[in-house]
Parts: sequence; C-alpha cells; structure tokens
Amino acid sequence: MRFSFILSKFLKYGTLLTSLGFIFTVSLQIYARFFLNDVPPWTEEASRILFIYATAFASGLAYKGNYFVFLEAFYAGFSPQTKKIVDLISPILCLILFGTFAFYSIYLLEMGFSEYSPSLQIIMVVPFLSLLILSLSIGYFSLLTLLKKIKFWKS
Amino acid sequence: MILVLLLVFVVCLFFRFPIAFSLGLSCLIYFIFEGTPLVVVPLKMYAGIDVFVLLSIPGFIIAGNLMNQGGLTDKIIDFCNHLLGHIRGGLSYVNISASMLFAGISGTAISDTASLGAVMIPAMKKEGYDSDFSCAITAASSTVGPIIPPSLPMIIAATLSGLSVGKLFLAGAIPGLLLGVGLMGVAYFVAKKKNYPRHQKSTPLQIFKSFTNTFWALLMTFIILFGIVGGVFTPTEASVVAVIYALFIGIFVYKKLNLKNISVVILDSMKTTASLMILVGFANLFGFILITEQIPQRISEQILLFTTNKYAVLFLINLLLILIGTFMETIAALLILFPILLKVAIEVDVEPIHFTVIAVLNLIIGLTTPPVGVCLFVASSIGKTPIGKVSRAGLPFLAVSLFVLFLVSLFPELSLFLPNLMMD
Repeated sequence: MRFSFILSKFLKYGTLLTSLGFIFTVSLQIYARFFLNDVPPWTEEASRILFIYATAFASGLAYKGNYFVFLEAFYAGFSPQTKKIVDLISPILCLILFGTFAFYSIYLLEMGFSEYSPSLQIIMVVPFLSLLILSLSIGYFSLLTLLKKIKFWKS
Repeated sequence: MILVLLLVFVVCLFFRFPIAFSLGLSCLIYFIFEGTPLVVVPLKMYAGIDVFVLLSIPGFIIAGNLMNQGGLTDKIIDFCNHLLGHIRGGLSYVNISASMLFAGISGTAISDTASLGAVMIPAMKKEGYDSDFSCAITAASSTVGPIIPPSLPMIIAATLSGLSVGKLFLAGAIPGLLLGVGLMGVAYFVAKKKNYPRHQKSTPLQIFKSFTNTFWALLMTFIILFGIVGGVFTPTEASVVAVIYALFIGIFVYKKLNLKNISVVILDSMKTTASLMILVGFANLFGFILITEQIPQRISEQILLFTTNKYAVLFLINLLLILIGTFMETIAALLILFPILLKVAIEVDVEPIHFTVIAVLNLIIGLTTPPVGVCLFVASSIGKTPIGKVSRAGLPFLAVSLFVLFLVSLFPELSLFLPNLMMD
C-alpha cells in the first residue's frame, strides 16, 4: 500500500515536471524565433523527449483513474456472473501485454546504449527509459486491480 | 495471419479491454505467430508518439481545461442566453451555440457533452423542457466540437496523412457551422410544436456585458486559428501559446486559477493525453502490420473492383465509418481506419482534405447514432433519462447531421473553399 502511494506521488510529480518542461521548451522556441536571431536546434527534440516522459509518467495514473476508452456496448449486455469473469480477464491481459512490453523495453535500452539523439546528442537510453516507466507503472497498477478483483471474487 | 490479428483485437474488445491495449495485444500475438523479434513493439510505439505535432494535443487539452476551470462554461452559456434566450425554445439554441463556441476551446465531443450537459440539461429541465429532448440536443450539439477548429481528430488525421493542420482546421469550419445551423433548425420546429418557454429579451447593454465576460476566452480560438493559418506558429507552438494565454486569463482576468488547481488541471489533462498517446503508439504498430500485409492496397483493390464511381465509393465509406463510429471512440477509429480509407479515396480522385472532413464528420455523427452512440450515453446519464427515450428524441438531430454529411460529401467546396482561399 505504501509502495503504491509513493509510486503514485512519483508519477504525479514526474508528470507535472515534464509537462511544465515541454511547455517551457516550446515557449523558448517561440521566444527565440520572435526575439532572438536564432532558434536553438535542440528545443524541438527536448520538448519531444519531455512530452514522451510526461506521457510515460501519466499513463500509470491514467490506468489507475480509468482514463482508457473501452467498448461498453457488449459488456452492458452481459449477465452479472459473466461481468465478474470479464472484469478478471481484463487486468490479466493487461499484465501480459505490459509485462512483455517491459521485458522487451530492456532490450531496447540495450540498443540505446550505442545510439545518440541527433541534436541534443544524448544517449538514447534516456528517452527509451520512458517506455520502461510506462510499461512497469501500468503493469503494476493492473496487478493491483487483478488482486482487488480476486478479493472481490472470493467475497 | 491478418485474421489472427483481427480476431484477437475483436475478442479483446468483447472482454472490455481498453481499445488501445486491444490493439497492442493483437499486434503482440501477431508478431509471436510471425516470429518477428518482439523488441519491435516498444520501438514502433516510441516512433509513433515521437512526433512534434502530437505535442499540440496536450497543449489544447490543457488550455481548454484551464479555461474551463476559470468558469468559462457558465460565461459562454450566459452570453448565448442573452443573445438567443428570447426566441421560443431559447435554451435549445443556447445549448447549440454554446457548443459551437465551446468547440473552439475543447475540441472533443464527449468532453463537450459532459461539461455543457452538466449545466444545460438541469437548466433546461428546470424550465420545463422534456428531459429526453434536453439530453438529445446536448449530445447532438456536442458533435459540432470536433469539426470546428481546433479539432483533435483533425490533428491526428494530419499526423497520419502528412496534411497541413491549418488547412484541415479551416476545412472543418463551414461544415461545422452548417451542422450547428441545421441542429438549430430542428430545435426551432420542436420548440414551436411543444411550446417551449422563452426568456425576456436582453438589452444591448446586458448583451455587451456578457460578451465582455467571454471575450478573452473566445479570443483564444482566434489566436490559435489565425496564428496557424497565418504561418505565425506551428500547431504545437499555437497550443503552447494557448496554454500560456489561458494561464494569464485564468490568473489575472478571471482570477480563478491558483497553483493548486493549475497542477490538478495539468495532471488531469496529461492523463487524458497519455490514454490517447498509448492509443496512437499501438495504432502505429497496428498500421505497420497492415502496411506490411498490404491491407490498404488489398481493400482498395476490392472496393475498386466493386465500383470505381467516386460517389458510390464515398457512399460505401460513409456507411462503414458511421457504423464504426457508433461503436468506437472517434480517435481510435480514425487511427485504425483513416490511412486505409484515405488510399481508397485518393484512388477515386477525392481530395485528401475533403476526405478527412468527411471521415471526421462520419465518426462524430456515430457518437450520437443509436443504439450505442457514446454521447447519447453520457447525456442520458447526466439527465438521468433512459437511453431509449434519448435516442428517439435524438433522431431528428441525427437526420439533419446525416443531411449535412451528404452535402459535405457531395460538394467538396464546402470543405475546400476556406483552405484554398486563405492558405493557397
């Protein structure tokens, strides 16, 4: 429970900081174009990386807060018993998807050690790490949902 | 192999698995069957969201939510009420015109139904409007939002096709206005038949006062639109200018924003954005498979074997998109189908910008098409009215929307006039 709380706080502040970060870098780009002679070449790339991080931090919270769209049409017609089973299957599928995703993100990180971004010249592990955060956070919250559903199933 | 992909996708949807994740899981299983290295999953997803123009999506969402936090919804409704409330059934027109003005701020239909519905539906019911009519008109009017700029579906379509966001924004303006006027026409007949109430006529001073309250918010739409069209900003820059402007107005003019609610708004907007970006990322993966399997070409060939008549093809596409739009969220449907259908449309000489407007219009009409139009559900839950009654009351609005779609499909000038005039 305590880990979940700390993780949520980490994701929350991560989202806020990186969001403000990409707003700032794009603002800097606009400012530079209008008031300076030259636009720094790194602003676009920095804003993209910050945006991907903001997305990664927010995605676990979005899953926790039920922000993802699903098809209600068929589910609404299911019997209460079927709904109970379906409710159990969804987090299992989610865990499979994002567990695999996280596993292969590590391979991607390995690939990123030998690559550098074009204008910032940062090692690609940095941007690719966002995908690991994304998959692990969604995976973790889907595991919590699954445990909750199992508890509900027993009761 | 493509059958496995589609089968897993459909089964996942049945299991109430989020649409974005259903795309991801079906691609994962496809790659396992094909023996493709699975590292392609995170790699393609990263490539899908590493696009500069996509940054405009959180920008517009944050700006819209900041404005809403500043009490914008009430101010827009108040202004429309002063302007149109004195006509019989005035609140119906207020509902539609507020949606058209609000459209410039929010850009999505479901959020329009939720934000405007929460204010308009209780107000209409209180004044004696039928509950089903109040819900139906709220759902129908909110579909104007994603057509009138700035429009999130248009940004997504631009990302998928490489078309100019500014041109797509302009292309949606006339169809959006037509849709709004058409809905007002239906509201007029219903209000007359049911003898709905009217308000006292406002004095010019009252109208002016309420206009000054909304002026700063409405100015944002013009800054965004003319900033992009005039080549002053890129769409991403325009969205960030909108955020800074909304912060300034919310803090110094409306005086409703503080550090706490700003952080709540940013966090909430980023959660919405994250859910969209995961969808975009997995759709990129899905699209990669479709292209590898040459599905767009195959579908295009099949349709063209059946007919090469431009209007017949457009009719078939319209039917398909409305059906899909009924079941599926607009952006998800756009991401999956738009690249395939655009190829078919280009084959029969449909102008890509014209086709984009048709596709978006179709999908948003689907949001109010019974039995599962999402906006109908949102409105019926706000108005606590059975969905069946809301759907029935919404049929005349649906008919008008389909008529506008027919006109837009038949006359490309309705979509192309403004982009050609202002950006060519």
